[in-house]
Amino acid sequence: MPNNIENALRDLISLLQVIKLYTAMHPRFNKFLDKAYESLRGVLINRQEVIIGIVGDEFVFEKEIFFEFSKTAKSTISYLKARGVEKIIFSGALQKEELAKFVGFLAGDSDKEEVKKNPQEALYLSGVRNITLGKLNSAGAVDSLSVAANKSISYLSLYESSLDQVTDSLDGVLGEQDLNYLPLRFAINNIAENMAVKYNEILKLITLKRYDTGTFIHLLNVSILSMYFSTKLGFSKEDVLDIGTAALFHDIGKIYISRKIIKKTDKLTEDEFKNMRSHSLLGARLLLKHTETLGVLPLIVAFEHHMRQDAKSYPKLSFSCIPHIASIIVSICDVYDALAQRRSYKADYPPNVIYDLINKEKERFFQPQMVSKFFSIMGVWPVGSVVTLNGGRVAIVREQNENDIFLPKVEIMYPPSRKGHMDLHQSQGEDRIESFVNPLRQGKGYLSMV
Amino acid sequence: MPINKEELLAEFLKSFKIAVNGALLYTKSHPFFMRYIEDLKRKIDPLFDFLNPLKVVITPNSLVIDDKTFSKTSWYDELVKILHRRKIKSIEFKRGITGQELVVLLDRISLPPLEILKQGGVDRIFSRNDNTHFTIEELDYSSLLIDKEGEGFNEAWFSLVESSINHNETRKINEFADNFQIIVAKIKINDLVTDERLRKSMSDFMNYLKVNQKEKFNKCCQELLESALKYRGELDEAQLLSLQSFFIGLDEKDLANVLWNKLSLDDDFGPVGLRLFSQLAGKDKHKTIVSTVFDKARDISPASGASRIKEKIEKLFSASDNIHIPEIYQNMLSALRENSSLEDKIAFDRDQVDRNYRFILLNLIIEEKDDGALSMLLEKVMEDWDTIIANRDFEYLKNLIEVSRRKTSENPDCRRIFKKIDDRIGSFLEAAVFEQPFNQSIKPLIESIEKSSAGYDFYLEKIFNDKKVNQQALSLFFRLFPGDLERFRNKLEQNRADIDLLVNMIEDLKHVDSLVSLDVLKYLFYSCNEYIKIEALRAMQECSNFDKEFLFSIITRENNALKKEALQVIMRDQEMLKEALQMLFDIPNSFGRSNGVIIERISLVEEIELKEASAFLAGFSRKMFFWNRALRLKAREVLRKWNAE
Ligand SMILES: [Fe+2]
Ligand SMILES: [Fe+2]
Repeated sequence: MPNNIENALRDLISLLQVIKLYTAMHPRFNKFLDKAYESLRGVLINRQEVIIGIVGDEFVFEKEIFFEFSKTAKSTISYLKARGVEKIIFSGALQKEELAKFVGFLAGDSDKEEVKKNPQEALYLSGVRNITLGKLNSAGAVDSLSVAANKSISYLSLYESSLDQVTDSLDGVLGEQDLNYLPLRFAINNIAENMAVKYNEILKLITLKRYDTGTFIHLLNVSILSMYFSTKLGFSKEDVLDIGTAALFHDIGKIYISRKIIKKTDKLTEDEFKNMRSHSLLGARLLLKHTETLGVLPLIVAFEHHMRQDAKSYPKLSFSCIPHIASIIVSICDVYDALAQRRSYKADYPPNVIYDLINKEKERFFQPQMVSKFFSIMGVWPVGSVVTLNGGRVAIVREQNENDIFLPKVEIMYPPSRKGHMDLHQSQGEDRIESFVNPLRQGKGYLSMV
Repeated sequence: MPINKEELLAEFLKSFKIAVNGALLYTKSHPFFMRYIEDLKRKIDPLFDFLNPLKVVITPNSLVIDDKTFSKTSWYDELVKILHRRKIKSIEFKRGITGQELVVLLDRISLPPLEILKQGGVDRIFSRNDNTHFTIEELDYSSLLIDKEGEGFNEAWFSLVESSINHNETRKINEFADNFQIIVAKIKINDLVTDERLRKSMSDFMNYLKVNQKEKFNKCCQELLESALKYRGELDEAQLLSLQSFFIGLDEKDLANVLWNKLSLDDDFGPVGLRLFSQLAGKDKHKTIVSTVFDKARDISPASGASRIKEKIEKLFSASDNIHIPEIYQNMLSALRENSSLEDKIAFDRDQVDRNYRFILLNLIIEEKDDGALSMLLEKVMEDWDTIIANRDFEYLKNLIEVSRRKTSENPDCRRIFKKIDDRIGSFLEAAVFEQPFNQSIKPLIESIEKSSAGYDFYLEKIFNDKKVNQQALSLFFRLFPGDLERFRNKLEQNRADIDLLVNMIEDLKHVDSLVSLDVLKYLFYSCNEYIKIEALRAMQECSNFDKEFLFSIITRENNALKKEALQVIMRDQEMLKEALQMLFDIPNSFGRSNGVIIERISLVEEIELKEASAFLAGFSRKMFFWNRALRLKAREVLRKWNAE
């Protein structure tokens, strides 16, 4: 039985992902709907109802907890939890149309007023009788779909579940296995959608997570930054998702190499350094086997992300072309994130130094106007940075000011007497940021407040 | 004997061209010419069963008969040019046309264009004759105006417009209006303000349109203004005023239109032009003009070159310091500079994704050392083959050829892996070389072909069965199969009656211009009729290689027409010419026995104005004795003519 139910769950998740990514009009949807309905019917054949729960980060059915399976479904679990769904009950008389309406409902806009107020009623009103949503400990329906009480935890779990998905996918490519595209795209889609509503929350996570030295954090950070950047440039959702997906793979060649030469704490030798620089070529070569599933953009970005404007780019090209805008976006976000990250062979730089460094090099490396665009969007001091203001105050950057990249909106934390929000731009030069507080050293105490 | 209309038409045109050429070549009593006329008569008569009258319309680059356009090859080009230069718009043949009428027609057509104009155009020279079975129509006056260049233009414009307006010839005036942009480009603005007659006729024309055709008036008036704004000189108050009067009828929208066109399209539009615009537009209209220009700038799409316009405006702005431009236009410029809609929009380009992917494949191929991975990469390139071809991406093909060359020279074992793609490229190019019109961008690619993928018979098939012959195809064929022309010659032999094919081929051989092509020309000379012989010799006149022995055999053995052509090849080499003249004139001639031959040869050099023969002629002109009288006189006559020129 658990096997059956696991298959049904898997098909259900795929169905949800398909409708999110392709909409119900897509011919693919009907194929997946048929399959999911078949599996569910198979489970329902001998029973009145099937109750699926989410406990912690795991799917649960009766006494069974699907530990292994839940690992591969993290994005979906966090997606459901974000919508307050902890329990789904399928009744024996389930119709295919109901299933279609149900996933459509889950994929739809949960911000609508009537849905928020009473999701179960909304589901019922849309004609679904044989599927009920609920909270785990209550017999009744979910009373609010609004995001879980502790928002930052919800975003953190979104970030972490996405990170797991990214790790899985990259491991797939590195291990020369087939790549499961649907969940990866779903994870990226999840981030992009949340970013549209609460971009500051997500950006803050990047600032925070940078101090985690995990290999894949950089990739996810670059992906998120690239998606944010391209959203602000006015790109369509599909383009944004494509860029976000491509960004995840930009350093695949580097990871491939670094798995071969063990991590060094000293400076890399000349030879190894050369090796590290050819990772763009190697990355493209690795991704060539996955163009069927991933498309060609990840390959292009992997190949082009170290191309330079002054034609001295590496890899040295026999046949040159102008880098694609996706590569330019990723390359800026890449350098930005790499400079901020602490590495075994280099220090982490404070944001104002990063700004100067990138600007000094912008003629050489990037399209200069894209660099200014980037900082006009990101600001000099990223959201979530801990900074000192004149007069010995300590504050956290909360939001950017579009017309002044040096003066964001901040929340003052110290001294306690002056706690509160302030727009540095409004204060006409009286208040300004003096320095950056490294959260790993002096700033440790503030980390929890961020 | 062809029986359908199309074949008859083709036959007729072929014969007509040969006859026209014959008329240019021979006098009307020459037996060759008469033969052409007979042939033409034979070809035209059965056509009247399908088309009576048979009307041949001549456009600047094609012939039109019965709504069908004939422009496919250089074959018609020459005929079209000959007729068009003589301002013939159409020729209409009617059933019952006699050989004698054809002689008259062709004889007159063959007059030099200038002579025809001197006699008052084709209309005149034919109206005096009773040509009941053919009619010639002269080109329109408006076309005359459009074609006319330089000096006589103002005169022509003046007389044509005044007479059209006076006679209320709406059709003609419409034609002027429709072609006004071309016409107005030829009017000098300076003339418009100084030449009273021109000014009056222009304002008559504009007023006529304004009253009768408001829309055309708007169009022409804007075009006149655009043209006027090109003027760089200084205008005094009165001149400005008189110029201004032309544009009073334009409203703010029209004026803004003109200004925007200038700003966005005309690279030469500078501060002087902007000042002139502000002077001509009228003070009260400035405000609306400027705001309309803003609307246009806002609506511009990035695809239409927004960044280029911005650059232009930037340039115009920085150059406008020393020239007084009204403040409102100064402000307009500086505001346009700030306008963000003129900035390059950053966009996600899906086509570029595919393009870059293909380029990366090339780079990966170059770097790849592993055979298996190399095969996979080439496989990926092949997946995109149809797109590459559909996009006519010859640049990419060139790179692909380069990659293949580099990889196989690095490691000859690779040849096996590249074979499939090499063959695919080769076959594509060898087929593309026969496409019409020939695509110039594949030229460098064709030069890189080292061996044929399509094979010898493919070429014979294309050239002789599909009749798709062109210069590039021929020279590629000669290059890929050197010294293997036997079967090609046999095919030529079989097709010797196909004048169309041969004439086209000769034209192409002329451009191939190699020793092989010279051989083929010689072969054609020996195996074909008089007409082809002449065409072959004419082609040789433009080739850099020549065969002295061959040419000398002609000037001693063949008829005068051929001699004349051969001499024109010879005269391009001074040494050879000297020798040839020696051979023609330095012949044993005791008691003037050869005088007849010599006189004939003098006529020959006279006809082609071969003044290098002067020394011999001078010798003849001093010959004594009565039996040399005719020779003496002929030589003197020619020398006198040459000296007078
Ligand atoms: Fe990299
Ligand atoms: Fe990177």
